[in-house]
Amino acid sequence: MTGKTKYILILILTVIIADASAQNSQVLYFMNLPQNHLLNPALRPSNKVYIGLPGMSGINLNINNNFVNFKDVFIKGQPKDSIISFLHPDYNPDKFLAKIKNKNSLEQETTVQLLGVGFSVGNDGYVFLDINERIQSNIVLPGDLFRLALKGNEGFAGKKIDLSSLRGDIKYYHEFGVGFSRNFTDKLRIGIKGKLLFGIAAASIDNKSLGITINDDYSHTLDANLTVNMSGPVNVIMNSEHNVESVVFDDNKYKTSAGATDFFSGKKNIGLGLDIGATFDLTDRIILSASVTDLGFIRWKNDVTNLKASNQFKFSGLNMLDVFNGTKTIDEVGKDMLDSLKNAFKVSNTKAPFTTYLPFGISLGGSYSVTKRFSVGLLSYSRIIGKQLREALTLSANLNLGNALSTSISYTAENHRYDNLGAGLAFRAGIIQFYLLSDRIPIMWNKIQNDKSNVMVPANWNTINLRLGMNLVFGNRIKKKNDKPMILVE
Amino acid sequence: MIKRSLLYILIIMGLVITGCIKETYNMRMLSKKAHISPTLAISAVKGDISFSDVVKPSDTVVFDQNKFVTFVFKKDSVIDLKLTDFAKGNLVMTATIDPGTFDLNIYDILSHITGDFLIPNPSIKFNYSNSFTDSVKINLKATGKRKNNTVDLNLAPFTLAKPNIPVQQVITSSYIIDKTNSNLPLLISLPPEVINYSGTATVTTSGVSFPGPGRLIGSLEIDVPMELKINNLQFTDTLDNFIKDDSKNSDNPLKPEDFQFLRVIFSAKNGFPLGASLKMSLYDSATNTIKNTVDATDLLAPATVDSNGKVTGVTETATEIEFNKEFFSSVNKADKIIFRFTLNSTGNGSQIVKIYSDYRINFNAALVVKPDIKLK
Repeated sequence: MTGKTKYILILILTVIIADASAQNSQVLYFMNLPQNHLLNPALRPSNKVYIGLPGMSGINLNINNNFVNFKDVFIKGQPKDSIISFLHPDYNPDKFLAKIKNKNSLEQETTVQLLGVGFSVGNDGYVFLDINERIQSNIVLPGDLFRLALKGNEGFAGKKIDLSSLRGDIKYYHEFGVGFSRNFTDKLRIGIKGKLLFGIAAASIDNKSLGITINDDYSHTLDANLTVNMSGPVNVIMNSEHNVESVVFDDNKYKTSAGATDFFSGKKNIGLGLDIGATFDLTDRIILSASVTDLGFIRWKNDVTNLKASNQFKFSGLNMLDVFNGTKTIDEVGKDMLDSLKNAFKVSNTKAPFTTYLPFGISLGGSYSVTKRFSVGLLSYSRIIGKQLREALTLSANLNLGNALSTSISYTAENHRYDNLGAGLAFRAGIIQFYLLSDRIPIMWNKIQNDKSNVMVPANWNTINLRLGMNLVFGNRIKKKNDKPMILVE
Repeated sequence: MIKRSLLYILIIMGLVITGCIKETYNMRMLSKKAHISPTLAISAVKGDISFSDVVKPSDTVVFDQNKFVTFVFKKDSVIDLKLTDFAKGNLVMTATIDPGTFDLNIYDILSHITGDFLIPNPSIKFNYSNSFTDSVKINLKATGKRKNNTVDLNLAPFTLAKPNIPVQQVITSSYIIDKTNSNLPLLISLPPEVINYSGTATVTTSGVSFPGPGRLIGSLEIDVPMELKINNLQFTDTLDNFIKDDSKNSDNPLKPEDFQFLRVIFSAKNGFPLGASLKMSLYDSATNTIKNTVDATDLLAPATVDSNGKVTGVTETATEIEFNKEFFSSVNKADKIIFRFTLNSTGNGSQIVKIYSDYRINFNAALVVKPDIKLK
């Protein structure tokens, strides 16, 4: 592995262990881009027609988490130039654990817009159609898991190690969306988009309860009610004791073109989605907007595996009665206890369909036009993932010169971080419109040196958020407002 | 206005994109040391155990109707004398009781025990069947032996009951040997590894009746009622050092010296009138030195008893035995581990205590350990 590759991996790792965002393109919201209807279907670009080229129309990448940062993992030590990791014997693990939250999430979302089309209908109507490939994953690691690993269980005496927030969810699906927006009054515009979803593969943990209660006498009670649902080309091999022996990838699915087509079409895992939004011109200069996006679900029916374990087990020490009365050896007593533990959590393997829900977002925005082309915006975005709520508040300055140039810079406060500066740039050359934007642009950098190369790593990079693409755009709907003449009645 | 706005945006974007170097990390200086040192605690063993759970009633262990425990050791055919065995005289005939040994099979245990131990009320029952019509006197010699210590029974000769001829041809009876007629308590409290016995049986005829076809069959039954006094009775055992890490190139990531501490938290509700303490020493036999000692003086406190020696209630104890880093650092310097248990009955042996089969002890032992697990 070259030095550069290694540090790119470190960079990704850094991002993976960086602080979380609400996973949205905050900058995009107030820009004059066709893709902003993805955030609020009532929004529409100024051009009359746009076509997103297959595969080039838009790529959106989000990777983030909400706990520690590069500098929390690698620490400047003594002497000055030395570096130690957070696991170094000279480092106090409490400092690392101080960064750990009760729910520590790792999230990734990738959306590739395969095709996007939008066009004006009538005076104010706008129809849009999207085909997207989406991969979403998120893992929530309970803070107690880190505390358990680094500090042990003794500190939990009299408490419960609560792992009920442990969650994992990954899904890959096709999204076909058709939407329409129009003005319902002079001031109110409403847009709606229906989505048909085709799931390809998914795995999710349905965690109803998971925890270990440690009593003052250090006896332990383990309770679990956990189901791992999978849909995809995997075979779970169980042994005779109902324990998972191995999980193997079933590549027979792809050996025939029919099989591969069947798998990648996702036609057996159907879901529905909905985006709905509205804008309201409060005054000539103030526009309010709201939307709910990605409200939906997928029902997974194809190649389903459900692994379920549910029970409670108490361990309060090996009972020495049998040892003292000579009926068993202590080894046999220990083995009996382990057998009891295994039997208590026998895994059932079923094939029942399951449902996963999309993480949905709620946007509330307002913009004030300082001039005809320059505006400032305030956007609140809340993302609900399972039982978790992520919030972001963005202040932006936006310059939209018709279709020719659209820029925005933003400041976002979210998840206890207040140093997120974003920027976006879109410009049009003829009928081609390019855009590139990110919610997070690092302003402080760390230089990572090794033998062969130097790599710049953001000092406080909370997330990777990048959206870029290219559209074909035609026409420009922006026209002067037809003010009604004032009639003076004497 | 537009130009100014654009200028501001571009300036800000330029600034943020240009950024500045906050820190330089020279990864060549990255220390490869990594470890975790969690403190792990677990309830290890437990028990709620009565005497009768551990020791089942049998011919040797007898629980009476009050659940009082008595140990009974029996030896049949200690004496089997016929008339022909007696050397004939005019009025007195004597037969020899063949020397024998009563092995209590407790040598292994006794070899590890020192200290004061008293069982005040043992008894030996000499059971016999006698068909001699004349008086038979037994002179039984018995000596308890433990290592070089011996205790004589000091039993005076005793006369057996005789059958009531002609209505009774054989009489079956017993003769009790106890503290009133012998040194039996001292002998049993030795306690003996073996009891050697021998003796004579003498028939004295009246001159009127002739001792017909007489026969004397006798057996011994040693009854040891479990009432006792113990003062600093020590049980010592030396084992090879099983904690020592002998394999220098072992793949085991944890070595004894990697432990910060190991704490054994022992709690008990003791319903027995016996207390215990424990010492564990690391011993180097090459230099004949103790390298480290862990002392748990009050591991178990004895239950209180009434004036009859019966337990009146449980005594609760909670003890922490800590094996610290210094102990673990000494582990590889020792080839032996010496365990020394010290037992005391209630009042440090100042009063008699009695053992009943329904005495119980409830205990829990938890382990708290802090290893230093090196990841690199």
